[in-house]
Amino acid sequence: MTDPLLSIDDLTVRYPRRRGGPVTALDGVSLTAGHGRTVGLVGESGSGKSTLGKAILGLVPVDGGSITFDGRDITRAGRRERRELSRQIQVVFQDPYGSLNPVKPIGRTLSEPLRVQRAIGTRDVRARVLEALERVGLPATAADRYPAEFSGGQRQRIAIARALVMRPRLIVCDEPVSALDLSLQAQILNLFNELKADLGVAYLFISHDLGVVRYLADDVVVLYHGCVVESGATRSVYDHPRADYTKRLIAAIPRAAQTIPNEKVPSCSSES
Amino acid sequence: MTAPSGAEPAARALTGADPAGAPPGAEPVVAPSGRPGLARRLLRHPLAVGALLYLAAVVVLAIFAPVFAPYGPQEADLTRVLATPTADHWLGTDSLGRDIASRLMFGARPALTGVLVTVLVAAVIAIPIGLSAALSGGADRIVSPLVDLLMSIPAIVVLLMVLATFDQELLAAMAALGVLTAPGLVRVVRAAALTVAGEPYVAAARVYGFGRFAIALRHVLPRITGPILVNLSLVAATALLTETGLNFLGLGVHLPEASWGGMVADASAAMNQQNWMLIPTGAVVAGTVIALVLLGDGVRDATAEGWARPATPARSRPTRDAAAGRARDRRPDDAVPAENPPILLRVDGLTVTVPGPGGRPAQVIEDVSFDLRAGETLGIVGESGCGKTMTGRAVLGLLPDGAHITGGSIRIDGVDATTMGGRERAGLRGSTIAFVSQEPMAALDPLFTVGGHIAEAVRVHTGAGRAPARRRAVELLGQVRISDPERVAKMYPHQLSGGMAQRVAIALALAGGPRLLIADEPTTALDVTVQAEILRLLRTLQRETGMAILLISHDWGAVGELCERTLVMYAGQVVESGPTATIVAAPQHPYSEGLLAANPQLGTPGMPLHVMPGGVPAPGEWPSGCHFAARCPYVTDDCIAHPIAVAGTDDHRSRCLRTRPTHMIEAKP
Repeated sequence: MTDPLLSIDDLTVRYPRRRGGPVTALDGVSLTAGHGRTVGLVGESGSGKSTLGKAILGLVPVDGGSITFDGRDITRAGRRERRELSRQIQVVFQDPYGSLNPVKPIGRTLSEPLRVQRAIGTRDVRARVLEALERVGLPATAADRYPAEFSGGQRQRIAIARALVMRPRLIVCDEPVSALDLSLQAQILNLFNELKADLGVAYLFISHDLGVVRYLADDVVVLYHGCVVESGATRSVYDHPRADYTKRLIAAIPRAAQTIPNEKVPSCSSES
Repeated sequence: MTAPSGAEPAARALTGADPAGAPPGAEPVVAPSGRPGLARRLLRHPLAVGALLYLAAVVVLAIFAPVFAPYGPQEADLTRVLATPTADHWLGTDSLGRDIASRLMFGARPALTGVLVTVLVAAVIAIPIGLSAALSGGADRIVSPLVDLLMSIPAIVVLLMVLATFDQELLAAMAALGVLTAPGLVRVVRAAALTVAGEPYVAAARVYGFGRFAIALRHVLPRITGPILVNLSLVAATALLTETGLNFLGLGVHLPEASWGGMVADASAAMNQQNWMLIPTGAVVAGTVIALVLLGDGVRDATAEGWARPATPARSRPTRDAAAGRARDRRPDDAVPAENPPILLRVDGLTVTVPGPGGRPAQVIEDVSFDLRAGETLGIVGESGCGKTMTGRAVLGLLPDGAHITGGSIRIDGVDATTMGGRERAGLRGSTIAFVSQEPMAALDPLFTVGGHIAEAVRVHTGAGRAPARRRAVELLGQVRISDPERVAKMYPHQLSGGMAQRVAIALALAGGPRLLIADEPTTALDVTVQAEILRLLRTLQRETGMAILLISHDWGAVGELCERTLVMYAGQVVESGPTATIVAAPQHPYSEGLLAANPQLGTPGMPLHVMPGGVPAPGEWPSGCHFAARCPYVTDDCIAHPIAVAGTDDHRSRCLRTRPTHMIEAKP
């Protein structure tokens, strides 16, 4: 068996407070993510799931433990190393309105990471941007327009395109579909799966929505108050939850359609 | 997907369009819009243009004063002192017979140089320091206290000291003024930058490996140019006034050199003999100050226009009766058999209009009809932009500004609420109809304790005294299953968790003993386990109190847990209505079907989810035929030709041609 793409071992993150001792956001968290796999990270607000994503991206300082990416320790990577890492690890945030700089045209936003890396020439930058836009189903003309001209679903596609221009191997997705309506959410989830199949990219998929994680993730990690309470293959965790907290979480999913047999729900793909 | 060409305009929605699944080229996106440059945008602000012209004139006259000025600055004509305007001296002369117009031109030179020095010094100091304070906690710990300290230094004392030290050199004083105004500007820059630095796109830039400096320059600074420009224009205005003041005192510009302040001093000394001279000298100073401020405002607005969405034009009021007539014609037959329990709320042909882009009125709700019986639970499901929240707010009588009912009726207990006055309508809220929103904190005033809040509502609705109202408040908190109501009653809103706050908001809604509770996405902002608790609570309360609940939600799960019947809304219309279980099991309308199938909970991992291409069309861009036609897999020519009426049984109806035999289509145009 090959080494996992990402391996987190006994990770601890504390946030300092103005008064009193620090708050422990993550307490000895360990997980691994294989090449081209989707790891779902579920938990409620305050469980530390977003902090874990930020720690991997180097956006919060780590107090203990280690993060290994592709066999290399990146726990405390410096700026130069981070810059290099950003070709491998990218991010998609929840808020499709806040995650794009409103004063820059889309093309500028997408080309910025390429230009800062100085890896390729100007002409190639443009080509790479258009390729990423096409990949997420947006026309080339989108490059010259501003974020305000796009809807929430389109902006989330743009945010994904920005992650894709670097051709990363891991994308950290922090609640990427939570702000979207159901039909747009389905479009974006399908896009994630297509990109995974075509480009072999792995995802760390942070979400409070257990339905989305069940659908998308190969493996799932359940966080509670900064600790991993359960992890394993998604199917087995959902069908046979062992930890009490996981059982409660799964029981709490409101079900409109729990009595309906699956085949009554029409689906384009299953009909053909 | 066989979308006919007639359906294309429907998909070209600005806000809702999302081109998934559609082949490239046929994508429903807005046409690229040409954005004019900053200068062109600035020209659209008449006040800014005026200010710019004025300042340009002042600058040109100052630079080319020797060319334009009819007289030299010191050229005195002692035979004509304190003259009013004449053909020779068109602004008159001063107490030494010098030409005022010429001296104003020469006097503008030290004035403008001084302002420029102050603004430059302030900007050069404040912008980098403010940015670094915002982006680095370490710098902030030094900068913030220092700024507070510097702001307490009396400026005039420092200026006098500088003037004394530097042999009355005006530019030194103006540079010192720049240093003294910098702390205020640092605060503005820091506050504005802090807000921007918290945005996810700044975090995204850090992920690429941008350093703090590059982030400040590329991402933060462009966003905050607006507030910086406005504040710099204010700094410029203050600098001009300070400089005039110093010269008025005879400090700075050495006499007899011309300076605006010195001229005002001269004018005020001669005020008793001749008061004309105050007018040109005062006017030029005041005019320059006003122009600086207006220009700052205009530049800020023009900067933002470069990237912000174009603003919607002013609202217009369409004639209510015409639209009402139309709605009445299209009203579906509404023969619900009268049985107990009585109908509490009957919404009939409700149409709500808002001013759309280009000033044209756009309907946001079209011909919505439904009944709600006492004690019934009804869900409204749909995506954002479908009009569910607007429907709830219309029933509450709380439509947002500019939106108004242009057709149909809302009967509460048989009385048409659309014809009620504001006071009468307000009386209904709380006592007959109550409201719970997605943001429970928004319903709670941070200055009141939870108990005080609810007691207040109890007193308003029942007229009870303080002590009974207080007891009732604790009772209500117990009723929403808060375990220690006495203690929670003494807490302030910020001490509550999200779930607890929602319980308190529900207790607040129950204070007036409402018979209908409208809950707009009451669980959306909550954690999954808390969501389940709140839904359970609403169900229990509904059983205990017998009130009806109208649940507005995008979540089939929430509606399925709570509601017996459901309305599915799409683009302002009710497209399907019926028992929740029936709709979920066998949806009649393709939109309900698509929405249910898009639910990842029902998807099979590894198989693509069912996707409806595109998005909800924006109000004002709805097609005349079926609103869903552009996204519908079953679309036919008939769907696009005419508005679709509601059909089906009394129990389960849908706005789709496929729900009934073909002969009925001919019957209804």
